This record gives sequence, structure tokens and C-alpha cells, in this order.
Amino acid sequence: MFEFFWPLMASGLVLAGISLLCFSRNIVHSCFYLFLVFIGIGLAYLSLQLDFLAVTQLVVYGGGVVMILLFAIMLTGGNEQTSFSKNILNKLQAPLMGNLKQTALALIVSFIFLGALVYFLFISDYFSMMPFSPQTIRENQESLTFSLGMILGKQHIFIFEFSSLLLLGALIVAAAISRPEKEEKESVKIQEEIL
Amino acid sequence: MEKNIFTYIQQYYPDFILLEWPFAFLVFFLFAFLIINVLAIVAGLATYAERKISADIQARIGPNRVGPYGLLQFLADGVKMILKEDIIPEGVDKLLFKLAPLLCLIGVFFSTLVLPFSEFFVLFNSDVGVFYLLGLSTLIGVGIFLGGYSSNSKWSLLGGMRSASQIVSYEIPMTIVALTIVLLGQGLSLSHLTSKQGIFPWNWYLFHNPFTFISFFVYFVAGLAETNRAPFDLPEAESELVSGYHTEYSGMRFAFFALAEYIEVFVLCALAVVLFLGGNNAPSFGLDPSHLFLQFLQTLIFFLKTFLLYYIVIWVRWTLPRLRVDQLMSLCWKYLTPIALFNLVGCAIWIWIFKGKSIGQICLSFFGL
Repeated sequence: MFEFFWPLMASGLVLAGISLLCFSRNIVHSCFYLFLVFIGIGLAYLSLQLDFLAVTQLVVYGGGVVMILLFAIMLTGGNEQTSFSKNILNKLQAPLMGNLKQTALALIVSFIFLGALVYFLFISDYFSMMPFSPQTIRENQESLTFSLGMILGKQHIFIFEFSSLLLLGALIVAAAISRPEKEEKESVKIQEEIL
Repeated sequence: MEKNIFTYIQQYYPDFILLEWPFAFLVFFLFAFLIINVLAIVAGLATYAERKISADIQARIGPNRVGPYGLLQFLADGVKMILKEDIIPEGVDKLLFKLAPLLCLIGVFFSTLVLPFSEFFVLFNSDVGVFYLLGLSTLIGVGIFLGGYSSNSKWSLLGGMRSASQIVSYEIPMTIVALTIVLLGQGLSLSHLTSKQGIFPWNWYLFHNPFTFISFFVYFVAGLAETNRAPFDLPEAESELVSGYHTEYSGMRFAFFALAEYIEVFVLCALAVVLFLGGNNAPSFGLDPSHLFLQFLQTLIFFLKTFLLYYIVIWVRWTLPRLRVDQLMSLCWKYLTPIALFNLVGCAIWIWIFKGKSIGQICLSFFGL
């Protein structure tokens, strides 16, 4: 009973969040519902006793991605530019999508993802062959975070360092792009002189 | 055996094993209820303390009418908040306007899930306690930003934006500094880090080596900025932004923001106590470690240390003037982040050279003791 409560609550939150996200007409509300979906996924990880993954989900997606999306919406003007006509075909489309072509594209992409999910979960035996599935670790009575740290620090150290290098590169490029250019500085100087 | 409140009570009532899940639910529910109520009272008393300490610093008397020494002032304030009219201004995003204060408050209450009040008085002894606590502060940032965005007011929006950028920026030095301690203690669990420290100050991580000593101050400054406390209270700068992200809020919705802020400061001080000041370690007097008296003694010591830090937070607020936005960002990116990175590398080198010994242990072995 108790062990079924959390997965049910998590999946309920995710499903409710996704359906509200799709049918909401306000893009900021959609962003908030996306936040609920991310928290639901975090709860699902927690119900599998994957603490570390749950917290990472909360920090990276719940905190970071939602914040970036909110800033993006705010800086691009929010929902003022989108307008919805009242004909039925447009109502059937996802509210935030522009036209039929984009809707068709979204449908194809989502069906590809659904197919991949069904293949990996039900048809192939990929997850049962994994050496560090949650079941094997729980049988070994080890802390999951501890074993995750050991795997990251020993077996996959190269990938780990490489990904951090990639992130560092992205950070430096972002800083370089967002730096004010020299011309702007000169114009600021001129303005100051005028003042 | 996992150490939390349920396993502690289970020791005394082993017969309830048949009714395991309703019993577990009851124990956790009651303990969570207790924690939330105690912290709400702590936040209320913190507003009283804030007014009284500021009065002391400015040579005034402060609240002294309601109850002895004005102690019940916060209850009067709370009743006033509930009785006030709940104003929802025109043109606001109603859903988000109503949800934002709740999001802040829920985020803060979630962070009390892993706080180790004593060895057994803890709700969930997580393996990733430090990471969890640091991660939740971004959740509160989302609440503050949504509150500012949905208010349909320039001042609120500016306050919310400032708060979001401030919280995201100061997360970085704070996380790196916490990582220094995690490196030293070799674990992310709060109770594990506590058990690695001792009762006396020379056993604490604060005095373990010079790098952790600097780390504490970096953590404290970053924490002040993270909770939007003065001198970093730019999101609610009265002289520029009316009142920041909660300008349009009134009554209990405003009180939720204030309550969330005061409890967040408590959580932050508690994390500082766990990471640097020895946590809930208490002398055992030769008793069994699971003795009830010891649990209460540990809780008392934990709260005393946290309140001491809380006093310093209030003291800083009424002493220093507010920073400018560019000064705030340059403090974070040009000073605190490099110092934190230097501390991380320095602490790693210290562990490698001295095999993880503290400065006190090295001195003792130097004098041949």
C-alpha cells in the first residue's frame, strides 16, 4: 500500500501537469505546469530510491531550465504576440504551435520518442542487463549515491571530465558572446562626454 | 540501520510492527507537523528579535507593549495579517499571483526534511542532504520570480528579476564551498558530516584547516545573498523598488513571503552549523547514544548554535548599508567564486599532504603528545 502511494502520486502529478501544459492558453502558465511535471519526475525517481537523481532533476530542470524558460518568455514578450482564431482546426492544434506543418512535425517527433520508449521498456531487455540496476544495488545493501560516485570516479572518469570540459567551453563562449563590443564602449564614452 | 524518527520510536514500541505503514505514517506526520509549527514560531520570534535587536543597535526601545517585553508582538502582527483585506490588483495573472507565495513557503518547508536536529530526530536521513538543501533554494527563487512577474507592476518585476539573478549567481560560490566540506567529510549526508566532527570547537570543520576557516565566511556571505538579507536585500530595496517582488501583496499572502524568508534564514544557519560548527554533537555522559535525554540535549545544542548565527545575520543587517547591483555581481563573480575555487583546491592539497589531519592534530603530534 505505502510503496504504491508515491509512484501513483508522481505519475498523477506528471500526467496532470502535462495535460494542463498542453491545453493551457497562457505560455507562462504552461511554464509553471512544466515545473510541476519536473517535480513529478523527481518524485518518481525518489520512489525508486534514487535520491541523487531526484535531487539532480530538481536542481537542473526544476530550478535551472524553468528559470531560463521564464526569462526567455519574459524577454521575448510572452503571450501577447500569439493570437488564436476560433475555428475548430486551430483549437485541435496545440495552442502554442503555429500552423499545421509544425503540428505534424511535433506529432512525428513525439511518436518516434514513444516508439523508442516502448522498445526499450517492453521489447528489448536493455535494462535488465545493466550491471548497476537499482535492484542489484539494493540487494548488495550499498548506498546508491556511493556506488554512483565510485562508477563516475573510476569507470567513467574520462566521460565525466570530458563533459565538464564541454560545459566549461560553453561557459567561456557564452561569456565571450555576451561581452559588450568595443564600438558600444566608445559610444558610451561619447555619451558620457556629452553629459 | 537507518537513523530517523521512525526507527527511534520503533525501538520503544516493537509490537507495532504488524501495523507498520499506518504507524509510520502517523509518526512522520506528527513529527513533520511539530517541525513546521516550531519553525513557524521561530520565524515569528525572529521578526520580534529583528525589531528588538535593531532597536538596541539604534538606541531605541523597540516593541514593548504586547505581553512581557513585547514578546507577543508577533502574534498580534499575525492576527492583523489574517484580518487584512486580501487585495488582488487588476491585471495580475491570478493563478500565478496566488501560487507564488505558496511555492516559496512549500519550498522552504521541504528543506526542513533533512535537517538533523539530533542523531535520531530527523525526518529523512538522505544520502544527498547537502545537495538537496542547496538545490531547494533555486525552487524558492522560482517562487519569488513568479511572484514578481505575475504582479503586473514594474517594481515587482524588477525585484523578481534581481532576486532570480542574485540567487542563481550566489548558488555557485555556496555550492563550491559546501563541496570543500564534502571533500573533507567524504559524504553528502548531513548526519554523516555531523558524526565526523566532535563536541569541542577544535574538532569542528571550521578550525580543521585555514581553507575551511575562509570557506565559512564565504558560505556566510553567499548565504546572506541567497536569502536576500541585508546588505544584499536588493530585490526588496525600499528606496528604489517600493518593496520589491511583494509590492502588490497584502495580508496573509505577504505574510507567507515574510515567513518563507525568515525560515529560509534559519535553514541556512542550520546548514552552516552542520557543515562548519559541529552540528548536533553533544557530550554523552556515558549514556546509551539513543537515550531520550541525549536526543533533547543534542536538539538544544543544535538550536543554540543556529540561533547564535541567526543573531549575527540580524546584526549584520542593521550594521551594513546596501550594495549596488553591479557591486553585488562583482563581489560574487570576481571575489567569492575565485576564493571558493582556491579553497577547494587548497583543501584537496591539505588532505593529500597531511592525510586528512586537522591543524590541531598536527600541532599535537608536533609537540610529541
